[in-house]
Formats: sequence, C-alpha cells, structure tokens
Amino acid sequence: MSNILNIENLNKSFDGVSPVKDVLFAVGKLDIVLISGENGAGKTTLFNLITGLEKPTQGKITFNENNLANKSALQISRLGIIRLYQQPRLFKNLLVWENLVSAAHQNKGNSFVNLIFKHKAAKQEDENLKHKAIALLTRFGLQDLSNQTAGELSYGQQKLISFCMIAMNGTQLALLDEPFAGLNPQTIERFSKIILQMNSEGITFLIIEHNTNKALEICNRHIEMKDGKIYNLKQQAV
Amino acid sequence: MNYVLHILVMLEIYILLALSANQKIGLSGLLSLAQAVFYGVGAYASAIVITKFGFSYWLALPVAISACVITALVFSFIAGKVRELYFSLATLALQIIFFSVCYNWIPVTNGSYGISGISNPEIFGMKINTPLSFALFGGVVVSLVIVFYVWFLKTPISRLIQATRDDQIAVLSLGKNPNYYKRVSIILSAIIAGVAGSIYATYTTYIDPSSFTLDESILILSIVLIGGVGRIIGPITGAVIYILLPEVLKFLQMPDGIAANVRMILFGLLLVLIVRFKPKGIFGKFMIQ
Amino acid sequence: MHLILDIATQILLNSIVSGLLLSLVAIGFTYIFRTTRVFHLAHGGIYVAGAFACWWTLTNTNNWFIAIAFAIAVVAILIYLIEKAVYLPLNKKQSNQSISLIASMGLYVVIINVLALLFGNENKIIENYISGSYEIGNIILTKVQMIQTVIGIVATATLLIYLKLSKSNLALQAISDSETISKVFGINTNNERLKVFIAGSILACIAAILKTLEVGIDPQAGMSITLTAAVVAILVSRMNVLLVIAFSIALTILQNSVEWFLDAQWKDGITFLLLLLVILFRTEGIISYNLRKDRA
Repeated sequence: MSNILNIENLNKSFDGVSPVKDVLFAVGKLDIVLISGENGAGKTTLFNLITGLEKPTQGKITFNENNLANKSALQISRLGIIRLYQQPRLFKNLLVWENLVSAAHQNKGNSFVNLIFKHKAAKQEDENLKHKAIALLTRFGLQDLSNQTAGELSYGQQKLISFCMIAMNGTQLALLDEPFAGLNPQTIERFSKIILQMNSEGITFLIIEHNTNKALEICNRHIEMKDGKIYNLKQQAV
Repeated sequence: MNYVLHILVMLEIYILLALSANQKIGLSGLLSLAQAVFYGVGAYASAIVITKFGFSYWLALPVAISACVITALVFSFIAGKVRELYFSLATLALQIIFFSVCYNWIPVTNGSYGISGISNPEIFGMKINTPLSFALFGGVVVSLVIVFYVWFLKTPISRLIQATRDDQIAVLSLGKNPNYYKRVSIILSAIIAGVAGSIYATYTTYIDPSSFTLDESILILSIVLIGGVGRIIGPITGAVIYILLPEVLKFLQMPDGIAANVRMILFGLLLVLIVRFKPKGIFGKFMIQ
Repeated sequence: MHLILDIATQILLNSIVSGLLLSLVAIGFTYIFRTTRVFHLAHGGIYVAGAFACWWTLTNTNNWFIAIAFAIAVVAILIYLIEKAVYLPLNKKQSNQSISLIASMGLYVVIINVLALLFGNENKIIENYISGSYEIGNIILTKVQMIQTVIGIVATATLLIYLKLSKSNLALQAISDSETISKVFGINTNNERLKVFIAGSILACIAAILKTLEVGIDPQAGMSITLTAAVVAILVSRMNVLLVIAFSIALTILQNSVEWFLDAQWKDGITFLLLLLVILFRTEGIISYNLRKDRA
C-alpha cells in the first residue's frame, strides 16, 4: 500500500524559534494517525506546513507523489487535503444544508460562466448535491438541523456539521485539529463512529488530539511530538 | 405631478445604488467606502462618450459597464490582498483619488465645470426625455435588477460569495478560491452602480464631480446599512427612507435650507443607533461583520 | 536660481508650520487609533466643533480666555459622551473595527450638520484679524504663523512632558498590544481610553482654533485634515509623538510641493495614493492566512 503522505526532514524556524524540527514520517492510505503532545509541541505548525499556510524552512512534503513545496494553500486543498480547525469553521449565515452543498468538491453553479451557459446542468447538479447533503445528514442522524442557520447551532452541533462538510467534500486526507475538544462523551462517541465510517469510505485521517485515550480507540497509529520533534512512533492494532 | 415623477426617478437610481452596495457590502462583507466611484465611473464614461464621440445611450452603456468592470478589477485586486479595516481604508483612498481625478483631469472630465449637454436616450425612435418616460425607463431597469437578484440569491455562486464573507479561510480549505468570489461580487456591484450612473447622467444631462464624493459613498453605505443587508427588501427600504425623508420634512413645513441638514442629522443618528442596537439594520438578514 | 531657493524655503517654512498644526490632529488620531482601535473619523467633527465653540464665544464676549476655555470644555464633554455612549459599548461587545468606523462616520455626519444648522455652511473668520508679518531676507513669516508655531510647540512639549512623567505612555502601549492582558495587570483601560480621547480632542481643538486664526472655519473643514492625519497615523504605525510630528511635516512638504510645482489640486490624490501604496505594501494590513496571528 503506497503512502499517501511522506514527510522528510521537515523543519520550520524563524526568529530563533523552531516549532518543527527534523520531522520524518509517512502516512499510509486509510491510516488514522493520532498526533499527540503538549501545547507548543509543534502539532499545529505541522498541520500548517502540510496545508501550505506556512512554508517549511527545510524539508519535503509529498502527497500522493505530488511535491507540495511550491504549492499555495489553495492548490494543496484542491489536491485533496482538507483541514478542520479547532474552532468549527462554518458559514454562519448560511443554512446547514447550504453549508454542506458549498463544501462539495465540484458544483457547476459555483462558476459564473457555467451558471449562465450551462444553466440547466448547473441547476440539476445543485439539486443533486442538495439531496446528497440531506442524505448525509440523515445518515448521521442530523437531518433535523438541515434548515437551521449554521450560526445558531450549538458548539457540538457545529463541529458535527463541519465533519459532514468533510464528507461532502470527499477529499482524501483530512487533518483534524482537536476534534474532541469541548465535547461531551456521547458526542465524542458519535464523532468517533463518523470518523470510522468516513475512513471506511476512503478518507485518511491525521488527528491532533489531547484526549489520547478516546483517540486511540480509533487510531491505528500514534505519533508523539515534543519540542517540535517526533520522539515516538507507534503502530497499534485497533 | 412632474415633481413626484422626479422623486421617483431619483428613488430608482438610489435603489440601484443600494442594491449594488448590498452586493458588495452585504453579500460579500467587503465594507466599501467607495461605491460612489462606480456610480461616477458609469456616469462619466457615459457622459464622455455621448458628448465627445456622439455615441447614443445604448452604445454608451456597454462602454460604461466595461469601464466599471475594469475599475472593479482594481478593487478586487486590493480585496485579495488586504483585510477588513484596511480594505475599507483602501477604498477610502480610491474614492478620494477618483474625486481628485474627476476634479483635476480637465481635458477629459472638464473638472469642476462638469460635462453638460448629455443627450437623452432614444428607444425605437422615441426620446426618453420627460419625467414620466424616465420614471418608466428607470422602473424597467430596477425591475430587471430585482428579478435578477431573486434568481441570483438562490444560486450556488451566491452561496459561495456569502460563504467567503462568513469565513474565507474555510472556503480556501474546501479547495475554492475566495478571491474569485470576491471578484465576481465586486464586478456585479460595479455594473449595477455604473448603470445607475449612466441613467443619472442622461437624466440630469449635466454631471460634475460633486455628485461622486466621499460624502456620497458614505451616504450610499448608510442607506444600505440602515435598510439592512442581505435580502432585497433591505436596500429598497433604505433608499425609500433616504428619498422620502426630505418630503416628509417638507410636509411638516420645515424650510428647505434647514431640511437638508435635518435629513443628514437624522440619517447620521439612525446609522449610529443601528450600529449600536440593531446591527442587522431594519430588514437585514445578517450583521455586517 | 535665487528665486527657486526662496520659493523652496518659503514652502519649507509654511510646511513646517502647517505640518505642526497637522501633527496636533495626527497625534490625537494616532494615539486614539492605536489604543482604542477606533478609526475615529468623528475626530474631524470634534475639530470643527471646537473651532466653532471658540469662534462663537469670541464673537459674543471678545475674551480669548473664556473662548478657549469654553471650546476645550465643549470638546471634552462631547468626546466624553461619544466614548461612553458609542465607542465603549461597542468595544465591550467586541465589535470589529469596521463597525466602530461606521459609527464614527455617523457621528461625524451628525456633528457637522448640527454645526451647519447652528452656524450655516459658510466660512467664518475671526474679527480683529491678526495681521502683519516678519521678513527674513525674502522669506515671509506671518504673525499668525508665529502664534501657531509657538502654541503648537508648547502644546506638544506639554504632552511630551506629561507622557514622560505619568505612567500613561506605558499603559497605552500595553493596551495597544493587548487590552485583555492590560486589564489583568491592573490597568484601568476605561480610564486610559477616556484620557486618550480627551487629550486627543483637546489637541485637535487647539489646532482648529489656530487654523481658524489663519483661514477661518466652516463645517466641512474637519474631514480633510482628519483624513490627512489618518494617513500619518497609518504611515507612522506607532505611538511616538516625535515621529508623528516628523511625518506630518514631511507629508505637508510633499503636499505643498505638489500643489506648487504641479500647479493643480492633485495634493489630495497624491496623499491618498501614498496611503493606498502603504496599505498594500505594509504587512500590517496584508491578509495573513497564518492562524496564530488570526486568532490573536
């Protein structure tokens, strides 16, 4: 099984600070990798480097054989990497189903040109996506939320919805930053199930999480970081 | 009767300006202090090609729209580079630069003397040169724009324009380009304001820089914030309030000289009150962020 | 050759004096912007309110002391009300800067229209106009300019001394870095905000009165000088009185040179072109997708 992500000698330093030092690891397809460590260990910087929000000082990141070195954040997300932030990032003024449809990877109606010249096809595609969104919400038991304004949802619900947006987007590699933070145990269970479900449908996960116990229940690999370096790589059976 | 029709024409122009501001400020969340620039570009472009090159209104209109699109591209370039308050300040700078150009580039714009003798439009051989015909003409344009918006607000692209307003980083994470959505939105806003400008130019047959100042931009902004952003009804309400307020004051027998100041005082107060207590505006769907 | 040197020196002299006046407005604007984060366009309203208060009292009492005292009182009360009724509540709600900008615009519109209602839109001058000038070689320094310079220097010197002696400068720096952390360290942010607003408004009032001596006052006069002061504030980007003065004078020299040598009213256009370039190329305002900065 080829690796979906390869990180070699990754270094990031500036102003005398080195948040990430000599990081080296590979992620296999369909892995669910836990990255743990104290605050300031470099985990978020690692995510920033992978998604292109920060540029490495040194080192190489390869995604599906693509070198991410000179790519912008937009190009990288188009290649198939999606990131969830600690605070749920939703479109607060749009309805929940609109949030999901907006997350879809392709939609003809997103382009003005297509909207005008291929407008029947665009309309059809948009309707299909709406059905897909509602189906997705139903699958996760969230269909009652579909017509609510996203900004009115509770914190836990918002996090769930942003998860669904990942599923709608159908990308290959999802980077989750503290997905369990601020959630009660039942919601964490729900999340874990959804992650496993999405994994079985083809999404690889990198998860930063402080709640290592819960996370280890679904992860098959565990990387521990400290002071910007990896000091422990573990494989485990789930 | 003519007077009422004149008010109606100005109302139509301001509804267009308010809708254009709603597009840029409401749907895109780009707080622009320069809507009068697009208004002015539309007006001046029309005026110049009509008076200097003898174009008919219908030839001048595409020229005006193209000029607005080019201006819009400048704004979108800036929108892609600068955030929030600094974007507003950049638009402030552009507004003042625009006024300076109108005022000083005398060979082209005639400076403070303005451009006069702008001919009225003609359609199927009939001249649109009475308040009634202009009111009808304006009414048709406004109706077309409103119909456009009823359709547009349900399209995927308008969703993404609003998504970019709500969280452009999330849009980026999802593999879409926030700058594209800002650009489309700004161009739309520019075109609508530019059309309003071209109507204004051929209606009054004389334009000068004083109609396209920072004050005018602030006014347009206030109209759309007071009326509320998002839905179509908001900008229309704001325009109605702005145009009808002086008529109400006249009815209350306030002398003309005072009425102008009182109108602005009420407007300014309304703006502060709205920002303080009802940030969504009267009919708005959401708050300006 | 001689003539150009004379003209240049005259422009320089005029610019230093006008620039000093501008800096009074700019110091206030800069400190207010950096400390409270409000882009206080209403500063222009305060400016003209002070000038009109002075002019009106002077016309009715012919007493400079009363006129200046009244003007300062008016300005202080006005800004106190604005801060307590509008800016502070918005700050508590954690509104962003665009919102306070809009509120400020609304306040500006109200203030100048009230003034226009009370006093009309025309330019008002001060009777008993102080005329006369000194000549140094071919350079002219009017008596009004002398007064402007002296009072301008006294005002800024007083401010500098006050900042050095009190703990305010440090407190203001702290608040401008992080208001929340300042509160944790026991800084009374509400008080410091008020002090900054009042001090800034008094400086603007003094500048307005000095300007009125020279060219009179009308309700529209505040916007132009406030916007120019805003350009200085963004160029300087920190709370340093001497830097603000230096940049104000430099900007005025630029504006006057443009006016003189380009023979047109392009000075506003050039000033704001400069602002636009600074905004585009300074990292301060550039969109940063770096989340750590975003979150801060």
